[in-house]
Amino acid sequence: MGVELKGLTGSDLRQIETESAIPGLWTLEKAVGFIFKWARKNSLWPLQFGTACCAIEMMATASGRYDLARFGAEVFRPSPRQADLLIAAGTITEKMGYALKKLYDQMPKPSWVIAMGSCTIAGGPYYYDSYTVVKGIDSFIPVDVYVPGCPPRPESLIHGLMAIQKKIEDEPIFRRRRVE
Amino acid sequence: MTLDELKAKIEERFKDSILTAVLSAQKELIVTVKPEAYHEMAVSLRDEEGLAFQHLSCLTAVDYPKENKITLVDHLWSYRHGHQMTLKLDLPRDNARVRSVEDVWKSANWLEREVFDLYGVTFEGHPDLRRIMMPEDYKKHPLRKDFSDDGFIVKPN
Amino acid sequence: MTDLLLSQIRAGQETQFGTDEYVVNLGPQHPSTHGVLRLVVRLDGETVKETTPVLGYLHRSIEKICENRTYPQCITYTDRVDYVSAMSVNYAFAQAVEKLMGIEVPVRAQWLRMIMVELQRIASHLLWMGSFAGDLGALTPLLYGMRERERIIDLFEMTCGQRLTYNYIRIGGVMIDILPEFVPKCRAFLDYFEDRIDEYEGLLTYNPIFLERTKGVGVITPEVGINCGVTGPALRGSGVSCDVRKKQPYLFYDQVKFEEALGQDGDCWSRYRVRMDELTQSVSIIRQCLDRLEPGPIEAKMPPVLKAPAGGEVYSRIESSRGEMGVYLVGDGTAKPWKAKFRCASFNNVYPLDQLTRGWKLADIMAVLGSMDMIVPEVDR
Repeated sequence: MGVELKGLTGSDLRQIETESAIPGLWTLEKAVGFIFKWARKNSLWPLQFGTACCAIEMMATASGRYDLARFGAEVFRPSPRQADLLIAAGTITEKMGYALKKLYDQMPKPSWVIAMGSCTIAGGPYYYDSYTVVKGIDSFIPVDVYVPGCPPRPESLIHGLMAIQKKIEDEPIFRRRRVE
Repeated sequence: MTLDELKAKIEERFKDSILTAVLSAQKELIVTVKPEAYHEMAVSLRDEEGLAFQHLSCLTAVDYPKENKITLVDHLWSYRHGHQMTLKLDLPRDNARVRSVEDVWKSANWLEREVFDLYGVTFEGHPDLRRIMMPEDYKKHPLRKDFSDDGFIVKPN
Repeated sequence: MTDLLLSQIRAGQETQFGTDEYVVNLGPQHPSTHGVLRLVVRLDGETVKETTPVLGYLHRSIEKICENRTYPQCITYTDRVDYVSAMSVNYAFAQAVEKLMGIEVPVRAQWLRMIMVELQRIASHLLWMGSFAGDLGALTPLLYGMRERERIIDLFEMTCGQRLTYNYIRIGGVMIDILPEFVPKCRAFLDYFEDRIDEYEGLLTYNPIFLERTKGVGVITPEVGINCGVTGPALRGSGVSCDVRKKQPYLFYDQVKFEEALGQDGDCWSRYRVRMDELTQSVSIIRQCLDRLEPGPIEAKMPPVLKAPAGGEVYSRIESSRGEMGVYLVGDGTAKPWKAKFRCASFNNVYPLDQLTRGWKLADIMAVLGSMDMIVPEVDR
C-alpha cells in the first residue's frame, strides 16, 4: 500500500506528511498511527499519586491558575488501572518503592512516567545521610521525562507534560519497552 | 508558680527518685530521674494538683556512645498552670529497658514505638511495641550514632 | 425464602445470614489519605471495628540528616518537614537555635516573621479546607481555596523567590527585606480576602450535606484529647484553650490583639469552625503587624560559624498551622547539632484515629482524618 510520489526527496515527503495532514497520502499504518497518537497525547490521564512537597505543586498545576485541563490532562484517576501517566511527585522511600512498582505494573500499557522533583530523580536533598530514601526511581521503573526542581514550578510540570506529548508523537504506536 | 518554686517543689516531693534537678541557661527545668522510679513519678506528675503535667509534648532519646548511655527525654507541659519541665533518665546502651508510660499518657504510645524503632530502647508493658517507621523486618536502629547500612552515604565534609 | 428473611429482618430477629468481619486496606496510594498514610481497617459490614494506621511510607530521616548539617543548613530541611506551612517550621527551628545560643533578633525581623507565619497559616488552612471538602465529596472548594492561596504565594514569591519551600526565616533574622510594594499588595490582599471568607462560609458551613457528614462525627472529649497529645485547632474544637500563642507568647503575639478560636462539641464541624475563625483572626493579626512595621535592621549580628554550647539543650514550641510544633536541640560544642528532634502536631493528632472511628461507617474515617488536618511528612519526618 501507499502512494508513491516521484521526484520528491525523503525530507519533502516528511514535510508533506506533517504539514498537509491529508490521510490519503499516508500508508494505513501511518494514518492509524496519526489517530492513535493524536488521541493519546491529548487525553493523558494522570494517576492521582503524590507523596510529598511536589504533590502540592501538582495540585496547584491542576487547579485554577495553571489549569492543566488546557493540555487535556486534568482527569486525575485514583485507580492505576484507569491511568496512563504516572507523575511521581515527591520523595520515594524504600518502603514506598514497592508500592510504586506495583502501581506502575498495574497501569495499562502504554503508559508514561514523569519523575517530578529532585527526590525522584536522584534522591535530591536526601542523597546523603538518609537511610530510607531511594536514590532515583529510575532504578526500578522506566522514566520518560525528568522535571527537576525542589519542588518544580507548575510551569515546569506543564513543560514536562508537553515533552511527554512530543514523545508520544515521535515514537511508534506499539511501544516495545524493556522492563526489568 | 515560678521555675524556682517548681524546682523546689519537685525536689522536695520526689527527693528519693531524682538524681539532679537543674535550671538550664535556657530557663528550662531539667530533672534527671532514676529509671526504676520513672513510672511512679510520671503518674504523680500527671495527677497531683500542684503539678498537673497532663500534656506529654514530646518523648525522644539521645545517644551518647562515649558515655555508653542512651538518655530518654520527656517534655511535659501543664495547660492548667502553664509550666513546663524536662524529665530525663539514663539507660545503658547495650541493654536499654525501661517501664513504659503509655498507660499514663496515651500520646506516649507512638512516641515510644518511634524510640524503640530508631534507638532500640525496649519499653516494658507497652501494648503494641512494633517498628513504626522502618519496615517490620528491619534489623538496625538508624538514629544510633554508630549506625551504618548499605545505601547510607555519609556526607563528606 | 426471601419473604422469611425479610420478615426476620423487620422483626429484628437474628437471621441465618450473619456477617463476617473483613479487612480493607486503604493506601498508601489513596486519594483521601492526604499523601501516603496507610490504614488497615477491620470492618463488620460497613461499620468500623478497628483502624490501624501504618506509618513510615515517607520517613525521610530528616532527624539523622540534621545531625550531620550545620545549623543554617538544617533550615533547608525544616521546609520539608511541613511543606504546607513551611514558614512555621522555619521559624520553629530558628527560634530554638536562637534560644540555645542566646541570639537577640531585631524588631523588624520579628514583625516580618510574624506576618509571614500568619500568611502561611491562612494559606495552610485554605488548602486544608479544599482537601477536607474534597474528602467529603465536594470538589469545588479546593478550587476556591487554591485561588486565594495562589495570591498568598505570589506575596511569598515576591519576597523570597520560592513558591513552596521558602527558607526565608533564618537564624537571627530573615533572608532579605521585603520589597516596598509588599505592604500595599499585602493590604490589598487582606481586603480582598476578608470578603472571600464569607464566600467559603456560604459554600460549606451550613450546607446540609456537609452538616450531615460532620456534625457529631469523631467527637474528641477534652480529657481524651489532652491525654492523647492532640494539639492545635483539633483540640481547640473541643473547647480546650491550648494556643501556644496565648499560653507561651513568642514573637510579639503578646502585643497584638486577637482571640483564641474555640469550639464546643469537639466534632469534625467544630474543628472546621475553629479553622474558619482562625482565618479571620490571622487577617486581623497581619493588619496589626503591618501597622507597626518600622524600618530597621533585619538580621542580628552573629559569629560567622554558629556553635552551640556543649551540653546545652533547648525545647521550644510554637503554634504552627496544625498545632504545637516543638523543636528539641542538643548542642555538643560544634557547628552541628548532636540531636535535633521535631515534635510535630500531626503525629499526635493522627494517633486517636482508631478511638474516634470505632463504631462509625467506613466513609466517616475520611471525615475524621480530614478534620484533623494531618500531613504525612509531619507524621513520618
